[in-house]
Amino acid sequence: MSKTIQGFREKDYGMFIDLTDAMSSVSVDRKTGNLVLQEGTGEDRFNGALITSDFCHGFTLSATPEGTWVVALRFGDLKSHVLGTTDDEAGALQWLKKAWDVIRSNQTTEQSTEIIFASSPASTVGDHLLQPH
Amino acid sequence: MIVKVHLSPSNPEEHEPGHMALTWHEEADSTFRGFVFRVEDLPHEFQDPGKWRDYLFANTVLGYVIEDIGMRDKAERNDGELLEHSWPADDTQMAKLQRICKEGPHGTYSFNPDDHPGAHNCVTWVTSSVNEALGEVLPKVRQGRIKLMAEILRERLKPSITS
Repeated sequence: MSKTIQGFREKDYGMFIDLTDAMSSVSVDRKTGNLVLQEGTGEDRFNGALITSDFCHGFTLSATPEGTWVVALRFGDLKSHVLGTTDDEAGALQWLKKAWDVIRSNQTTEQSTEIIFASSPASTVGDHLLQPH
Repeated sequence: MIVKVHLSPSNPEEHEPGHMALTWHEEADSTFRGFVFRVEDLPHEFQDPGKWRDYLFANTVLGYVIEDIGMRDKAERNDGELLEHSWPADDTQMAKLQRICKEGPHGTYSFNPDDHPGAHNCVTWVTSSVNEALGEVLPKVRQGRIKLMAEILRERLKPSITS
């Protein structure tokens, strides 16, 4: 089952991504910077899974040939986990930047990897750095 | 005060896992607590969405009590998805519950908690916590299966008190 993002939301206590088949599939706690994944049905999904801010290395936003954008979380030993696909590039970028600020501000260890990448739908050279931190 | 459990039901036909958490309400404020595992505590080769389930059915990792903002968000949406039940609690019971539900590391986590003494999943942690604080108010279900707890909340525990 494809992971289609329905929307990006914010509340005073957290930031959320909703999939069309799993609301609050991603939660970012503003107080701790930790993520919880409750992604619902599918082999490509985590549930009840906490990813601490120190274990997060950033997000990627990558174009697809269809003109949509894949949002992925980078964590651990350079693992990448797809959070979903969206056609709302601006909304995704805005949410990812804010979420990363929350996560980064709670990290207790220095992160050496870059944070948010994006690639133009027309690009064939792969991802390029959009906003280094 | 009111103690409430919230259950996001599973969908057995689609192997939807579901989730369960608990809440207490003090005046205008609500606290949500849930029980999860950390992906970083899984062996490296199981930190993959296609493999993590297999590991947690056969093994345990550290468990963590968290402020469950995902469940709080679901409860605030109030879209009819959640099954709920609540009980009144006196000050002594609340103090006990708040002590049990302190955020941080808490025992171990497994999808087959009955096979691992001391381990919990989200369902058995909620059941154990509520029962320890309030008395035996919530039946235990085999391996903490969401669908079994959902049946109990649907059939055996209604009606819930109104908060």
